[in-house]
Order: sequence, then structure tokens, then C-alpha cells
Amino acid sequence: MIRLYHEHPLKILKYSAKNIWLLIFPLLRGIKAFRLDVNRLYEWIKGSWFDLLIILAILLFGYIKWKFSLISVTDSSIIHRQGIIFKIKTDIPIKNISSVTIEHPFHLRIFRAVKFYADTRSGTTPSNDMYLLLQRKTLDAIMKKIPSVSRQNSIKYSHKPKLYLIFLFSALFSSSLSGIIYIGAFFFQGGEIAKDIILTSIDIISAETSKFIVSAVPPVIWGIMIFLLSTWIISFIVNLIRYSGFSIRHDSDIIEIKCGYITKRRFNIFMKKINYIDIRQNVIMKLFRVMSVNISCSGYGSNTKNLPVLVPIITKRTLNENLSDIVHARFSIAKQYKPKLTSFWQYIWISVIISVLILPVTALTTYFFPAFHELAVFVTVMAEIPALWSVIVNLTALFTSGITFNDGYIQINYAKGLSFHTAIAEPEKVASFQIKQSPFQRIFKKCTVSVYFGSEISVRHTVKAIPVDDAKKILDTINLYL
Amino acid sequence: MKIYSADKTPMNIIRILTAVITVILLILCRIFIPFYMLMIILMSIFSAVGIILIFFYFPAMFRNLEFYFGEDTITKKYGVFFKREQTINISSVQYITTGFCRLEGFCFIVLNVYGGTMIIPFLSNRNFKSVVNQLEYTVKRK
Repeated sequence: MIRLYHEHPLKILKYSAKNIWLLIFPLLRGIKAFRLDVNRLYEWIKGSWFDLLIILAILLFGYIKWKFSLISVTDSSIIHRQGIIFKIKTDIPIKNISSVTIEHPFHLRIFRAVKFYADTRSGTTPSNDMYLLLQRKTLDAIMKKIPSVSRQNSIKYSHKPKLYLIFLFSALFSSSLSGIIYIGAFFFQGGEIAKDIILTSIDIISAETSKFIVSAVPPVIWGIMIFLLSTWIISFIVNLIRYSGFSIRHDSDIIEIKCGYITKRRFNIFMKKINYIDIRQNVIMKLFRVMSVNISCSGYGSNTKNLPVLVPIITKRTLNENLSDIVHARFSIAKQYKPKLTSFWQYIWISVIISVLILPVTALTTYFFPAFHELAVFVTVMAEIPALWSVIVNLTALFTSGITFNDGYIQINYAKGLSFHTAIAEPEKVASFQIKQSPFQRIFKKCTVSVYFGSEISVRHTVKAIPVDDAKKILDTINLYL
Repeated sequence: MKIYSADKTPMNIIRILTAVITVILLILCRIFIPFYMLMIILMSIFSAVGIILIFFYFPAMFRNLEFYFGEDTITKKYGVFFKREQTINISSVQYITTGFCRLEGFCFIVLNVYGGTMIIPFLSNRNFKSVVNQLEYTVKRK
């Protein structure tokens, strides 16, 4: 007989209403004004009875919805049934699952609640195919049916990076932008109170820095710079917390990754469902010959809060050893098909034009709006730095880009934005191969090659300025494998 | 090859709902729009859209909606102004989501496949059970 489970009772609150807190505040105001007096109690209920009734109705609706949400797990599938009048059933065969994610948030641990996500290779959006809030014992019952790395003697590889590597990883992959996003989330969820705190903090920072920094730079610019630095620090702390305790181990079929101390996360990834490996570097990492190994697998890294990391930081020297141990792939330094150095303009023209155009824009702004001269200079400097950095990255990409076939794998080296990528996968996983030629490329018999691997999110891996004959040879080689 | 068509019962319910919504919009226009010409224009537009949907679009949509179940593939033909055809391999189906309603004709199946989804809507209860049994067996068997 198949046993049916409910989700954790905390899900009642989620099912009730997202905006139930709107009714809580009038209720709290009423409670605050409450005095221990029978007459007062009667007056209060007389005034608030409708609000209380609404809250009860919302909670009752949530309870009914929770009661009709049932989970069952068989030897072959996980089934989730929900709905009262309109019954919806989601039936995921276990053999089609690509990854399973288990999250223990700090605030839910006291309730022994865990978040369970299961994903397959279907769909075109990174949303999870199944998300459940479960009790610990329900999770244990489900995990008995789902393959996982459990037996000690079946483990073929295990690795736990040292703490300083996690520090380094968090520092390299932190950004002011993500820090601003965290503050923005705080801002939108905290409402007016958060807005006041943030704006007051910026004013205080600007005022305080102007006291001890005597320079031609206006205080507001110092305030903005300190704000950007603060947002980077926030992003760094968040990454450190998220990836602390990172460890990886695998048997012949499953990779298990654990990370996080405050919110503990465990990922079970089915190795056959990995789409491709993505080795990432930025310029600084390239100088120090370290890299971060990521993977593309449905469900792992779909949630934008988590990078799909396999090994946070690894040196080039130990890369091949670890790569072949974990995913049986190899990284090749040699490039079989690569752009010629004379094609440098194809790589850098956009970055150069942007870098050059920034200066006349500043001059024009200063000419028409002289009051904004200092701000315009500041913005120019802030815009020119990443623009020039982009020129350096694209010039480096000219020397490092290419496509290689090695040991039954296709390896694509390319640059995207301000970072370098190396995508490695079996040629059978190539979903689409594109050759694009601009009129100028046609003259010089060059083209841009784009490769897409089969994955939930469509990612383009592009190498520019490849000779057309080489592009055709690459396509022929891929076809041999298909 | 088995061929399934969309059940006609939901069509009538949708037509009635559309008529109700159209009437509500007309009443709202009459009450809230102060400018006479604007009111007349909007009421005419809502009426025309309602009539086209009820007497032309929905009947054509249900008439053209067909599903072809072969051994290895499922083909969905649909569309009113632009006829479309979507075919998937049953082997590429990763998992199935079904929606069952006691109201005749409001059952649907969502096939989640590599790189997309196929929605099979407006099946009768009898056809729904037959299709689901066949699909679940095939998806779990492969």
C-alpha cells in the first residue's frame, strides 16, 4: 500500500495568503491598545471582529489547501497531488530526475522543516519542477527511494576545499551589483523603514567622510564609493556564508555537494544528466592560474542565488587530476582550431569604441550642464575602468579562444563579458551548431562559431574569427559522434 | 494512431463566461465613462470582440484542436487564424502533470519534455483517463 504524506504544516501559512500580514498590523494595533478590562475587551472585539473573521477564513483556506496536498513515493516515481475541486497531479519518474536539492534554512530548523526540490531536464525556464516543504521524517522516506551517495565504501572521490580557498572564491565572485541587489531586496521587503535606514546611512557616510577627507572630490562621490564598497562587502559576506563548509563526494552515478552552515544545502546530481562542464576564470584568476569549475545540470544553480559550483577554486596544475576523478573529462591546453592573431579587431572593436565614446559624452555633458561637471568626471572614470578592462579581456580572449576535440570530448574556450569560460562536453550533447558570417568576415573567409548544448537554459558558447574551413571541419567531427 | 478531439462542453461554458464579462464591461462603461463618444466607441469595441469570440473564435478553436497519438510521437494540431502543429517524441517526455476536474471537458495534461512543454487541454473525462494511463505506462517504461 502506498503511503501518503502531507507537506510540513508551515505550508499552511504560505497557502493562506501572501498578504495576510496586512491584516496582522491592524490586529497588532488593536492588541497594543488593549487594556485588561472586560468592557475594553468587548469594545475591541466589537471593532475588530471582521478583521479576525477574515484572518480565520484565510487560515482555514490555507489549512484545507494543505490537507489536500499529498505526496507519495513509489519505487519508480515521486507523485504530488494537490487541489480541492480541480485536482492537479505531478508524477516525476525517479530515473528522469537530474538533481535533487535539500535545503535546511536556519529559521525552519526549529520546526524540523526542510525544503525539497527535484528537477528534470524538461522545460525552458530555470524554475524547479517540484518544490515541497517537508517534515524531516517525510524527507527521509522520500530519500530512501531516490539514489544517493550513502554507502561509505561506494565513494570514489571526496574533496573539501580549505577555508582560505572559500575566502578567495567568495572574494573573486562577489560584486557590488549583487550587493546592491541584496540591499534592494531588503529595501523592497522592508518598505519605508528600510528606505529611511538606507538613505540616512548614505547621508551620514557622506557627512562623516567630508569631515576628515579634504579633497576636491565632493562628499557625495565619496559616499557613493563607500556605498559601492559596502555593497561589495555585503556580497562577499553572503557568498562566504553560502559556500562555507563546501564539500563534494561521488560514487559511480551520483555527485553529492554540501555547503552552507546557516542555511545548509545538499545537492544530489545525477552524473549522466550533466549537460556540460564550465570552467570559469576572470583576468586575476588567469594571472594566478586558478579557476572555478562549474557544471550545467537542471536544478543545480537554477536558483540564481547559487552558482552551479563543482569545485570552487582549483589550480591549473591539479585541474586534470580532479576533473577526471569527478566527471571523467580532461582539459586540454592546446587549441586545435583557433582564431588567427591578425583577427584582433574582431575581438576588441566593440570595447574600444565604447571606451573612446565615453570621453566625448563627458565633454558634451559638461558643456551643456556645467553644474554636473564633477559628477560627470566621476561617472566617466567609473565607466572607463570596466570599458578598458573589457578591452584587456577581449585581447586576452584572442590568444586563449578555440575549439578542441580531446579524448572523446569537445572543449570550447571563449570569453563572455569580463570572464573566460571553457565548456567541456561529449559531442553527442551538442544540440545546435551555428556559423555566422558578417560581410567583413566573408571577405577574409572567417566566421563566428556558436555551439549550444542541450540544457534547460539555452547558453551560447561563441568563438569569433574562426576560418570557415575549420568551422566546417568542426561540424564534420561533431557529426561523426552523432 | 489514436485521434482525440477537444470536448465541446467547456466551449459553451467559456462562451457563457465571455458573454457575462462582455455585459459587465458594457455596464461599467455606461456607468464610469463620462464622455459620450468615448463610451459609445468602447462599448462598440467590447461588443464586437465579445461577438467574435463567442460566435467565431471559440468554436473555431475547439473545432481545430486535435491530438494524434502514435507509437512514438504525439502531434497537436491547433490554431484559428494561424494553423499550428506541434510534435514531440514520447521518449523525450520527462514527466507529466495532469489536471482533473469533475466538470466534463476541463481535464488537461502537461507533457514536460526536453526543451519545452506540450499542453493537452479540454479532454473529456473518459479520454483523459485513457490517455493518462497510456502515457504513464510509456513514460515509466522507457
